[in-house]
Amino acid sequence: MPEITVYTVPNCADCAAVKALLTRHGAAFTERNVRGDPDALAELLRRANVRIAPVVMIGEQAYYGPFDTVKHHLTAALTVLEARL
Amino acid sequence: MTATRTHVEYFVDGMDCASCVQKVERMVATLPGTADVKTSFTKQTLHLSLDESRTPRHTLEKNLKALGYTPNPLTPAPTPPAPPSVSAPTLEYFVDGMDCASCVQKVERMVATLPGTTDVKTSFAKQTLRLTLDESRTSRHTLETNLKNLGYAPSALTPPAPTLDDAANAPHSAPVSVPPAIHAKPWYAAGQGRLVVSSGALLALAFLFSFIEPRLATVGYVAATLLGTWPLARKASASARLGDPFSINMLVSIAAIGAVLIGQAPEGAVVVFFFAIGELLEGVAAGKARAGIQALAALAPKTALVLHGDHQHEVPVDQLEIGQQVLVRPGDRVPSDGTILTGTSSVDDSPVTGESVPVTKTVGDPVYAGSINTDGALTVRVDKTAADNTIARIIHLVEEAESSKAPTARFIDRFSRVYTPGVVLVAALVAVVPPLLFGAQWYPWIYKGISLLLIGCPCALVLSVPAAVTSAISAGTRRGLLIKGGAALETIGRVTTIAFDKTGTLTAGKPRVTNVIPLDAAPNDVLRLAAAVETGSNHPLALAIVQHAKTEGLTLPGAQNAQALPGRAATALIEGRSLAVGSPRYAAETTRLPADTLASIAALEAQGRTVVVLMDGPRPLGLIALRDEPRPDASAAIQDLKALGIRPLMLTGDNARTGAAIAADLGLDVQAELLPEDKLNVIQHLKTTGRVAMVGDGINDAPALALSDVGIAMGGGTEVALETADVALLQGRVSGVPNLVRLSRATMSNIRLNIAFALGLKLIFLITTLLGYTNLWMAILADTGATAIVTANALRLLSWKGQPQPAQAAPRPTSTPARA
Repeated sequence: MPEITVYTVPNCADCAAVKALLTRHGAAFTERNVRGDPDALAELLRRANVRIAPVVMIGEQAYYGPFDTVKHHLTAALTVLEARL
Repeated sequence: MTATRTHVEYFVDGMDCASCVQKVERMVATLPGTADVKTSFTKQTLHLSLDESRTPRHTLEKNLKALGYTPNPLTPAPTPPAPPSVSAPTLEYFVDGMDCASCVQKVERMVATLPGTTDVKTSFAKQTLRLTLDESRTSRHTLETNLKNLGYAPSALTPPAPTLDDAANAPHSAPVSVPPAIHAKPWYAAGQGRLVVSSGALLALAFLFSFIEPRLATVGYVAATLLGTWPLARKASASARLGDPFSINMLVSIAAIGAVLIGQAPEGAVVVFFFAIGELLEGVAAGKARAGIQALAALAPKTALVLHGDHQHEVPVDQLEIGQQVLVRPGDRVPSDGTILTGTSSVDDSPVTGESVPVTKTVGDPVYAGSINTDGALTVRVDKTAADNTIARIIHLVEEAESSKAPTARFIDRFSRVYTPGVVLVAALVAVVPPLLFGAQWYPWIYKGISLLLIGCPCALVLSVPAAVTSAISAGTRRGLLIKGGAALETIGRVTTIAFDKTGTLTAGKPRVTNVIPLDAAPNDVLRLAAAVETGSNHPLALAIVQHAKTEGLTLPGAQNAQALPGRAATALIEGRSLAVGSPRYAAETTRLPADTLASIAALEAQGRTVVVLMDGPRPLGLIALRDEPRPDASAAIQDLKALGIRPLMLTGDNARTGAAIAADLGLDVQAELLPEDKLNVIQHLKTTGRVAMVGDGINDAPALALSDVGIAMGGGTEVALETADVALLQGRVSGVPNLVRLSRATMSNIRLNIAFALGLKLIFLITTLLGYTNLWMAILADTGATAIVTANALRLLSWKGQPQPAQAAPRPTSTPARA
């Protein structure tokens, strides 16, 4: 199972939705708040070169964008992970 | 006139979440003279081409600041922070299926979400996708899988890299599709039904034989018992292998075989026969509860009429593409979620929202797949693919919800895991101890032991919860209450406080001009000039003023040098005058307002209206009052909640006087002038005193919804709301909230009644059997009977109607005429 990290900012509806989606799929993840945390932001930039939350890193693959566009890709990726388990 | 366009680029501080980006994009879209707007997720920047004669740069910057973002201009020639691209080959694919403009956009949008992609070019001529891919960020495999997920098959035109992992294993995620309506077999044709019929027939046959030749009858009873026990025993051994040796099937199997061994074959046969009937009833009940939802899926039409220029042709709905135009004739069902491009009609949205009164919809209004177009022809732009249509998502969510377990169901599961082995132990003791230790006769005590096994069977108990939860969720969905699981269903009936967001939840979220009060100008001038100042702003109040001026048929003069002072005023040069539209506080800073003007402002605010002042320099020209009207059923719903013993509370960021006035109209407590994080603190605090539900729009309130015990999204059709909330109210009605509470309480009392009944019956039979008053088949009849009664009782929830809607919306007390 690749490690999953979710980069978020506070008060962000899309972030909440992404986390809910992961939880619903039973995927364990680490959350990092990038607002006001330069280390986390630097890590996010290094790994995904993206600054806009939410960003989901599954292994080394980044998923980002508004929830309704990213949902499809995330669901597909999680379904694959579940199938491999 | 030649527009002088400049390219501007900003790093936008604070624009660090996806919805922030959308907010910025929407704001920019309202500004005249903006084009080629690009926001970069990678760099957190906003890039656009700006016609500064129409929108000056500082207006854009002010508006950004007003939204809470700080723009930092970047040099006109942006130098990307050049990622050290180790391997960035240029790739080219022929993309099979990417043969329409919207398909190309779809591909481009997908590629844009992948990190490490640059120089993306799609060719309309060659149907190819060309890009430079930094494979340390996104593997080729991922790109290709994503293309395939979108339904396009890429074939590489560049020689493939020698590497490449298991492309063969590339998983093709099956598109989520609307589950087909089940073709229910008649009950007697299904496996369980055949078992009931055949074991019943054998039983009857054996019974008849008992009059002619008793020995043959015994054979018949034994055969009936074995036939009935066989599938149970198989299931029992399967669950024993999975670590659950004390299943219901095991109990019944032991009891039936035990009965045969002690020479009571007829009783054994009756036992399995009744048990089979019980299982059959259970299956029928579950099917019935789900049928309501499956029926929804059947409502979406299978084909759509796609318009191509002047001709039209029929295509299956799952081949519809976003952006296509479809014709919906009167009487047709809408084939896809979309937006009306031409036409006006009454549309019945009941399959999606449960709202049975047709709504008049016209150009620009959204429609849903499955809705019925009653009386006018509509052209609709397709906005969602078949799998993403609201109705498909609802069905999917409900199916997930029904399979999730309510806490009570989990408790019952745990309970029977202890209880069932306990019953087996007691039964064994009853059968063995008296004969062994006290020299009692073996036969009657084994008989009693077997009876106990059957009495102890927790079927009715185990069944009572899921049947009720499934029925309740189905009933709720058909009334526009989408409950995402048994846990939410249970909790909502136990909350002590329900917090409501004001704007968009208790109110419609669309402020309207209620009063235009001239002070030093003609009434029409006040509105005309104020609207001219506000043109170009996307503040809800500004939009309402401009809209009102348009409905009044006023021609707006041109504005120059428009500026926004965030949260205070908008200013512009109009007809040679320097005008401002601002809050009363802003006006008071600029000039001394006369006492009677201050009095009318206070009076208007006390009526829940928001007042703005039109100023010509220091001279106030007039007042405009706006009000965001409460939803028509809000007041009744709030009273309803109070009657249910729940404390409703309004949370708002609005000013205290306006908030208090609206709260007083609706009759609930209020906490005003709250920042988003204050709302979280309020919820946190409320949670110390009891369970709390929060009702909001699901977007701006997502964190508060997540923090509360039950998050309820109102009018929630968006992906974000459906994902984050525990409950989505598909109709824009506040009355959905008290109805949810009622449904939850009805479900819980149904469950409690069922549990009490099932346990009570068992207790009675336990005692009578030990005393020897009742026998084996009475015990099993009692259990089957209990199962049937419990199931029937749970199914009553299917016909739950909720509180009838208020006969008509109470007219709002508009004490002041529209124009004073």
